[in-house]
Amino acid sequence: MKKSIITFLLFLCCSVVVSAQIPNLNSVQPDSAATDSSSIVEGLPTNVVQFDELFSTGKIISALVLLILTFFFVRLVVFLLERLAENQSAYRLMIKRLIPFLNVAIWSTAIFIVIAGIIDPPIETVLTVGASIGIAVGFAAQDILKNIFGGFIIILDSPFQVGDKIEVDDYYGEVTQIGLRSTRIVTPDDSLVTLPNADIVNNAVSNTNSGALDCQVVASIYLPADSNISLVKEIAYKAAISSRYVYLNKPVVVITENKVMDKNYLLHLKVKAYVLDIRYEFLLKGEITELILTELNRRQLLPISDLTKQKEGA
Amino acid sequence: MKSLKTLIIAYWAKTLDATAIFLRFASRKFRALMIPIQRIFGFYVIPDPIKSRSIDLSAFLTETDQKIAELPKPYRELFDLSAAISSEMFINAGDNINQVQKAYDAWKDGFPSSIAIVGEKGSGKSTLIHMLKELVFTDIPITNIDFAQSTWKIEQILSSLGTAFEVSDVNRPETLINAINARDERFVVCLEGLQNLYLRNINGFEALEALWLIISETKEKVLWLTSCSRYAWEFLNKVEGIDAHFSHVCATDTLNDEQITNVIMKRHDKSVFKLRFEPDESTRKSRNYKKRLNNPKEIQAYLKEVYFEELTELTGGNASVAAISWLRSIKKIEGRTLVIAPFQPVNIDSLEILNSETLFVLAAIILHDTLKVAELCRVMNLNLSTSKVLLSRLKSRGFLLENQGAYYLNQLVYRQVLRLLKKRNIIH
Repeated sequence: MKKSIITFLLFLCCSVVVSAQIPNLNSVQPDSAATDSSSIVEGLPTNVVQFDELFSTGKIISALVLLILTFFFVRLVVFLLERLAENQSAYRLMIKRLIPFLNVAIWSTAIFIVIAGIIDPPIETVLTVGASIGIAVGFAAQDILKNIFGGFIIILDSPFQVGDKIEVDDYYGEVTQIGLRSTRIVTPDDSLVTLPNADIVNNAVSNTNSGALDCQVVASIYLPADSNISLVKEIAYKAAISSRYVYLNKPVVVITENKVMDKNYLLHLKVKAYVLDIRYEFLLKGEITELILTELNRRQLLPISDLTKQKEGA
Repeated sequence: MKSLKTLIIAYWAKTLDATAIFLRFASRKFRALMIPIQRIFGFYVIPDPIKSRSIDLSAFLTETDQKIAELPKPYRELFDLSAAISSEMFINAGDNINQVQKAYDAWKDGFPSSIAIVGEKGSGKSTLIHMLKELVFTDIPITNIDFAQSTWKIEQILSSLGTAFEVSDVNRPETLINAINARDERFVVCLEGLQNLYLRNINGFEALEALWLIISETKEKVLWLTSCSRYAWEFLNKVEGIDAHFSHVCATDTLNDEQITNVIMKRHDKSVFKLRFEPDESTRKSRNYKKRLNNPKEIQAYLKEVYFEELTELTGGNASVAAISWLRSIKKIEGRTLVIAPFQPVNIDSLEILNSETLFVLAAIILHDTLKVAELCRVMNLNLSTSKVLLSRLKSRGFLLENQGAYYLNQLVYRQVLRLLKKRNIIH
């Protein structure tokens, strides 16, 4: 971090010196050979001279310096907010969701300053260039634009935030970044999936925790239809409240459903509990399942598997 | 000309000097301003003296023991909060005695009452029960039951209650219920340590379930007076609505700074020592301190006020933690004067780096008050060796203390551990 800051500062100093020198050179030249240069300029078409004035070396360097500065500033802001989020557990998700907003806001401001403050083109030029770029880019990069608009819609509509657990298509995971073109999620098996924003906007998105630190976890267990329902439900409830990962400020609910599978009736036991931090989501689910099955086995409430029968027979 | 040059040199030197002083001042102010900001963002590096203390917490605790041992024995005994006290020394938090008196009167009139006394470990639950026996339950027989050890199996609780009520061969709660209801006289049962009657395990609630049945079936014959630690109570309330079993709930952990001052000063006033409070660096620089400099009495009153405000805030109104911290603050004894150093809480920033498994162990201990290795295995679903390693690691770092195989949280770090667990949403 220190190294990059020093490099950046050195680069910034050099850029400032160079940009300060270039206008001086431009201003000295006409003085020393005024007649020659004026004759050369007079010989050029007016629009070329205008273009030269519009994109002078000084302006380009200033714009570049500003954009580089913005890049590092955005990185610094993101770095600080991430540190802050990790340090303040209670506000982690709230702080993280600020990041994409600030990202867009800072870059928009920087681009506005470059166009309106540094290049400062006449309105006709803005309209002409805008229209030309619009048509060219529109044809060439339809998908990218779709994604960028999708990104804006996601930020404005907020169907999810950074830190939420979402499911889009077949992908489920924690949102780590909402960018202008794409959104990144980390799946439970630690894969980073990049989802184009256009796809997210056009698909149904399921949000598990909607900004809260806790989220509901459902553990499912299939039991024989003739199981002792009240006993099984009591075991399931006690298993859920015994887990260290459970968040008890929200209710633990055990429900049962009748299912038919391969022409057999089954009792589908669903334990709905909240996890104290979404990071422990799968640990809670696993622990509840393990505890219930262990207890049911201990009380011999589960049917003996064929393998066990074979072992016992042997 | 020469004098002008001298003047300029002098002026220049003065300017340089003033600039240097200003820069030093500005840099100090800037650093002071940056510390809270760095702390918020997690960049703050602990200064060396505090850092060394926070890392080697066990050394700090040994120093505490040594310091307390150096104090005169009669003075130490005054601050032993586990010892029985007289009514004049008792601090009645939230008018608890009146509440219990009302519950008792209602029960005598035939209303089936039962009372729970809830508070953090060391907040004075046993002291309140002792006072209630002396002041309220003076005209009725009392049966005392203290569950100091974990008693979560149904056989264990039935056997303990059977012994207390002098009923033999109790193998079902109904036997006990019938025996109690068959008695002629009505009586009070003081049952301490409700937090030891469960284990956060799939099979760890059977003793408590049996007790609820016994309480609900004998309420008319028996006035149940129970005590439970704060976080066990909160947990049991969430999972099985424990407060539905009690008509009156009294809290002992709500002492304000005036009451904490009274807890300490009432005990201190029994001794022959005078007090002299010492200011810390920031107090010494404060305007409030400086304007009292010509009046030593006012300075002492001000320092005492500052000390007790900090003590209450950092001990969370817990009487035992405040008492230990008070003894720890005694810097030296000069003749018949105790010199009180500024209040210094234990810095346990090293807790921040503990992994989540260790934090879950600390949470389990707070929920149960004390846990043995085998009990931790059941609570955390761990094997024996892992549980042993986790507990001994925390013991060697000074967070836990051990008594006959039962581990419990060190009072000196109780508040800080609690704060961290709440921050991480582990205790809620």
